[in-house]
Amino acid sequence: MGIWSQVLTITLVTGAIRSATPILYPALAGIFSERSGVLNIGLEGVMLISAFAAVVGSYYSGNPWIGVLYAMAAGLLTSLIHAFMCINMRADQAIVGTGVNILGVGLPSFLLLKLFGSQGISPIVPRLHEWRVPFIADLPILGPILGKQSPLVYIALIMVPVSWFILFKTPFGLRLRAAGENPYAAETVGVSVYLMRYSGVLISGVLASLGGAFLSISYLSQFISLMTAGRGFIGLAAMIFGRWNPWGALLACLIFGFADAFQAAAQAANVPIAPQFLLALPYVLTIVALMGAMGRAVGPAYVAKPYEKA
Amino acid sequence: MSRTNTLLIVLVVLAMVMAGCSPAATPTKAVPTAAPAKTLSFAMVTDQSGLGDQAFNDATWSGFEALKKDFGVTIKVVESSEQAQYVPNLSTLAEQKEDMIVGVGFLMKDAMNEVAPQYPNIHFALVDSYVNQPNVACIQFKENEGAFLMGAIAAYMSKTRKVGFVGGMETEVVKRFEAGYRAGVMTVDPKVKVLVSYAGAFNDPAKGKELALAQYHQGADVIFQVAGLTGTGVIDAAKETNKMVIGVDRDQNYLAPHNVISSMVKGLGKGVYNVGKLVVEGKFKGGSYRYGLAEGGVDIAPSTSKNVPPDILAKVKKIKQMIIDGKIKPPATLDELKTFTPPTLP
Repeated sequence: MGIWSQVLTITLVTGAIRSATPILYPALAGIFSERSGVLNIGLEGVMLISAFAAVVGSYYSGNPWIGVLYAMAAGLLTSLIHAFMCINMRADQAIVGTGVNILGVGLPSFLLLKLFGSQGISPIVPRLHEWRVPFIADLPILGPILGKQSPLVYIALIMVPVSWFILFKTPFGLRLRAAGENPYAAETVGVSVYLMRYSGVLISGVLASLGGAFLSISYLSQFISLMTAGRGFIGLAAMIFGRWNPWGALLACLIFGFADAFQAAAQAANVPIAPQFLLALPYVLTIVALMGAMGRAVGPAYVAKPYEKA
Repeated sequence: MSRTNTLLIVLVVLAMVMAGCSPAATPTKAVPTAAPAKTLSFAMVTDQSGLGDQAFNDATWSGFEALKKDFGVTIKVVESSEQAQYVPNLSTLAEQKEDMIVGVGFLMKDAMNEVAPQYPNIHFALVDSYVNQPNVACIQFKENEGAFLMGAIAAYMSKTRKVGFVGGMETEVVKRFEAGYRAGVMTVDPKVKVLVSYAGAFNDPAKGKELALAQYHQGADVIFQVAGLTGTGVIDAAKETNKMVIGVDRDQNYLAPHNVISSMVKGLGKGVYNVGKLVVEGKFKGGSYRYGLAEGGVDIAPSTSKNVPPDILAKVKKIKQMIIDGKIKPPATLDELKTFTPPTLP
């Protein structure tokens, strides 16, 4: 029992939330985009580009919040290209997403060389420090878990109910979902499908950009080539597992985050399990969860289908 | 639909051009020197990181510059922007009859195996990997010797009597580090516990940070990271929790001056210089060249004196001398570690 009492502590939950955050952002981002009818597999690329933009903003201004603004602007611009190609040009949405991902690999390393003269790694920049939330931090169990986290962790958690409310409780959300479920019916009742789809993709870009900024200027304090390491795609898996619902996505991200924090603690405690198995655990859980959800998880009917105005 | 496709193609091509541009894909940069009757010409092929990576390639190039300075050889570099370019880059230089062609990094192993047999009269060198070819000098390092010293420093510096090790992937080289490190800790104090974690990647700093935080949380107060870019996350964790960390490959003290107490530096330039010198002297031979503490292939970073007290540093230097004299043989694999019996220190 000695080993396990070292592994299973309250900091495991703290770590789980930290690991869940950079997945939760792209998961919520995917929900907005796909609910409006636009497949978005380019989130990994958006996150990389905005992670880099965040570092640039923080480097030149000395203020990490300016970095967050840079990241949001970069996310917005990148998704604007995505939206234009998918909505106006009616391009194959999977290919556009792949293009954005390739751009996410190339653009930052190109600019890294131009701006900082270095390969693959940026200088260290000012980062967002953890906030201590006065009341919660003093509570016994909740204190260590939620009392002192990065502001971007709090924003991510707040975005879950906010996204749910926007999507399912407002007229805007209803119209956005209609554009993804049946755009032709939506248009006949006067909903602008183009506007809804643009909104979905742009909101998605901003949310994904916060995930990138979290990695580069909150969790760490520099940009490193390919630092997202597949988190954009894991976010999409969480979205599917959560059946395109923010609460479900949150649950999926927490499972993944928990598995990730568990493997870190278990490895450090020299638990007699090969590191390869422990490292694979979060991904295995994600696959199992996806298979479990497969039969029932049905996405928006018109996702990935271009809409042509009559 | 055709307009769509055109735009798409433009986007994708633009992206690829940018991806391709990044490691400044210039064909050759020749650095001419005042030519005597017959000037030797040495060439180097980089991996994707290219010159300016502040690591492997730059360190190897420094060896080339020293060769140029000391022997007046002509030096040139060809940068590879992707793995598929290794074979053509090596072949082109071989066609040009360069006097020595150096490939950098273990990723170039397969390319070297393909090209070297086709040009049996050309001298090749491969940095940080091994191929069994008569005309390839394989420059490798005794990382276990340097890591042994890092283990000693960690054990001496730890107040909690728990130290950590974070590896990138479980490759042969990283395990060589692990074996040496654990033996070093054991030699100083067999009661000090070593926590070992692997990230499964060399470029996931967020995972590196999470692993390091877990180790620090479980009581480790020094971590040796051998994890490439993943390791920058380990150093970040040390800075955040105000714990100690040990860097790798080059002196990483500048990343966190109060936390990076030492680094195990690798003398890549020195290794290349030595092999280049053999070519100049006409004594080149293929095979394995392993550089350890004695040859300056691995060493303690100079910045160590900033954070490690002089009495501890003196003890570590004594251990270094014992390794050079052959009195201590640091294990190079985890199997050798099992049978390793720590020597008594004076």
